[in-house]
Amino acid sequence: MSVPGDNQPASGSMRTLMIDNQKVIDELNARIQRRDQEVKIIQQISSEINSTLDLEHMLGIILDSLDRVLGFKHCMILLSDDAAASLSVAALRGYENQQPGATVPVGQGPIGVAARRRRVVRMAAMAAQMGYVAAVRGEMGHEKAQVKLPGLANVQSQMAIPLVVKDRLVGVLAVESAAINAFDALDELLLSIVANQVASAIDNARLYLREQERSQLLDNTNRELSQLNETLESKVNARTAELTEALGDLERRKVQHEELLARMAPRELIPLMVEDRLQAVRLNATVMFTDLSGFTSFSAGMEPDEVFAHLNHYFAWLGDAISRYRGYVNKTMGDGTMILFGVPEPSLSHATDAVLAALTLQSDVGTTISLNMRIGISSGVITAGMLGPRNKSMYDVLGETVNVAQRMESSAPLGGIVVTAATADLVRPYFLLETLPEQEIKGLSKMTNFRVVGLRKLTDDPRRVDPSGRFAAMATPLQQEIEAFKAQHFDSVNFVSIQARDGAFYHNETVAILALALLRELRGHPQLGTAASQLDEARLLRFALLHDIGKRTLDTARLNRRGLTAEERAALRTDLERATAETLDRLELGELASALPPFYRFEAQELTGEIDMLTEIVGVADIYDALTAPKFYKGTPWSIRGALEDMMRMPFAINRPRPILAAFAELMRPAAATLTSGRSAKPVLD
Amino acid sequence: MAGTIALPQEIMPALQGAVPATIVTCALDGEPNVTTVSQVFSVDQNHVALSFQFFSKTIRNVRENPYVMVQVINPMDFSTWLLELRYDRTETEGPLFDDMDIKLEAIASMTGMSGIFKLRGADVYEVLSVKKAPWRRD
Repeated sequence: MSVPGDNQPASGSMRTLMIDNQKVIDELNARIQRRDQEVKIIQQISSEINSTLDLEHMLGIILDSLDRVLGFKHCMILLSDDAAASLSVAALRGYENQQPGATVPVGQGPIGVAARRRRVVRMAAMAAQMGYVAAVRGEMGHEKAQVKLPGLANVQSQMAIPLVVKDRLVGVLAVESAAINAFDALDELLLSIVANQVASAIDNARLYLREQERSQLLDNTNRELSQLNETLESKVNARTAELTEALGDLERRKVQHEELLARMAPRELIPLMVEDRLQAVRLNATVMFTDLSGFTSFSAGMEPDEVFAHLNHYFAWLGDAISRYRGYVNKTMGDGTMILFGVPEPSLSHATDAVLAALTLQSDVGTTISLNMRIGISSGVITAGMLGPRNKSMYDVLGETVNVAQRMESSAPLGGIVVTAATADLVRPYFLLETLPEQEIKGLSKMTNFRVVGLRKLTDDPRRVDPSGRFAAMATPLQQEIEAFKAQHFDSVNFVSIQARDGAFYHNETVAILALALLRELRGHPQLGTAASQLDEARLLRFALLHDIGKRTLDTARLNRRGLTAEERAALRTDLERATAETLDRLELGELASALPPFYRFEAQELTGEIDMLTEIVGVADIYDALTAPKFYKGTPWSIRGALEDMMRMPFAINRPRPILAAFAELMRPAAATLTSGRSAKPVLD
Repeated sequence: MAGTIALPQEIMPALQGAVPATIVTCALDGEPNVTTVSQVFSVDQNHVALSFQFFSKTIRNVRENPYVMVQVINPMDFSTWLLELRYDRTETEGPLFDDMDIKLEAIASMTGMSGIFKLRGADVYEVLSVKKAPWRRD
């Protein structure tokens, strides 16, 4: 080199120094540039990798980046299986004739060792090293057994980087080259950084994939489950339907059996009968015989089936009437019947039930068949049980009472009801009876029997209508007025049947009669006259007639039970009020229900202050009739005077003057009686 | 002198194990021994390492007499290098040992020899001199 001033040592060394400096600066710049580029490369790869969660797509992107950006021509990504026993090639690039899926056992080759040791393995000059090992191996007497692994056949350099996330091996990233020493420490560093990103990206994608698979699985399972459920449900439904049908069949058969058995004995006894535990018992009961007079000649010209049709129609009608009064048709004999009351359950009302049933039959028989009936009734002790040969045994009764009842029937006039003295004693308070001349009954001693005339009404009972009282004069026209009102408005209500439930015969009519008498009396009252004139008379009568109509749905045993506790009586009253309200509603008289609460409170003796006039009038009439009317479970009822004085001592009358009660007492009392008011010290005994 | 002789960058390809190296050791009684080794590993700028896999005459000699001479060949240009070394220590754990162990395992496992080629230690030598052929006689 010939440069001016070249020989000058000072400037020469200066130049050398400058050149050296420039070299250092260039090197530094180059290093900075490379660093800069490395960071960019890593950023680029990183953002590409993270652009997708689809694993296959992501692996493609990674390998593409390794080739395009970093210049690794042969690269593959292997993923570890769940047991971490082997790795399988998930994606590769730069290999001909090689497909994903090839496996590498953990621990074999650079890839397997990288996986096992979780360390980067960077190999160079592999052919020579393998040759050396093989040579040693030969010296040691081992067979040559090269392991076939995926990758380049002529591989010389290989770098295998474990992909690890949180101590878990995800897989291995491997690059290869046929060059003897293709990868240096910088490549290792770069690839290690990329591998970190790749590992977490793959892990995320796999988690996502697994989550998707799991949710797919969950969906499938849910679908299968719901299909199973549907199948199950339809099976259960089908089975339930079968069972329901079988049950219904069983129920129907049970009903059929019971119907059959019910022809042999009263329904209540069927369970005992089925278990063969029915024992003969002695009970107080009433026996009734009926006969259809002239049926033989009536049916003389008829075809047999016509005869049976007529008779069965008649028996159906008779059976209805009998069951309405709790009777049991024990047997039929031709056109005749034998009917029992007070069996199998003992009852207080067997005699009145029988007489009422008989009255109903006699008054209505014309609607069914144009023939006359004879009815005979007898009350007393009978023995009841299953009777007859084993294959034909029937519930039956034995005893003198039965025989006498049959005699009563045969001695009865056409359309008449004849009862024995025993029956007459039980029903006299409620029915008008006509004493028949003493007669000799076939096979029995002389007897005095009675013909039933009809239900005893208020005016038929001298105990309740004192001839000396002011009421006596008005009683008959009032009773006729009420009878007419009842016929006009409540023809559909069978009061007798309802009253028969607790033997409160003619009670509703009596309350109406008394209430009407009292209302009219009050119209002339100096203080109450105006209010009484404004009270709706028809409404008063409706309420008086229907105030306890709910009895029709209450249990008769409960209605007739004696010795109720205060709570039981209160509960009965509450139920009666509710049942009455319901019945009023059915009769389309719901408006009347508003009068029920004060009335029932009055009945419970809870009202001591102001009482509305309707409540007090009907309440006074009701209590008075309850005290003076005969009851099955009562001995002699109260006398008129006793009842009035008792009422004057009731809580509502004690603390304040009750002009309505006073007017009622004045109306009803016997002329000679002086009543002791509720405020006096001692009650006066009758 | 220790720590003063640096391995040049251009020798690195010769330290990848592409061509086996030749090593000369000498017993205390002066008897020399020449053999080949598969690879001379570079450790840092003035240290190299040899793998200690079997008890050989080389190992025994080095333990007696630390001075060793090694010839390596660069497979890229077939240049020949002569290194004067002095045995310093044997590492049986750490990054160097692991690196050599892993490479050994990788190769061995590929030839069905896993567990047979076991690295007992990484013998670390200090580089006393480096010469590239044709070398001048000093």
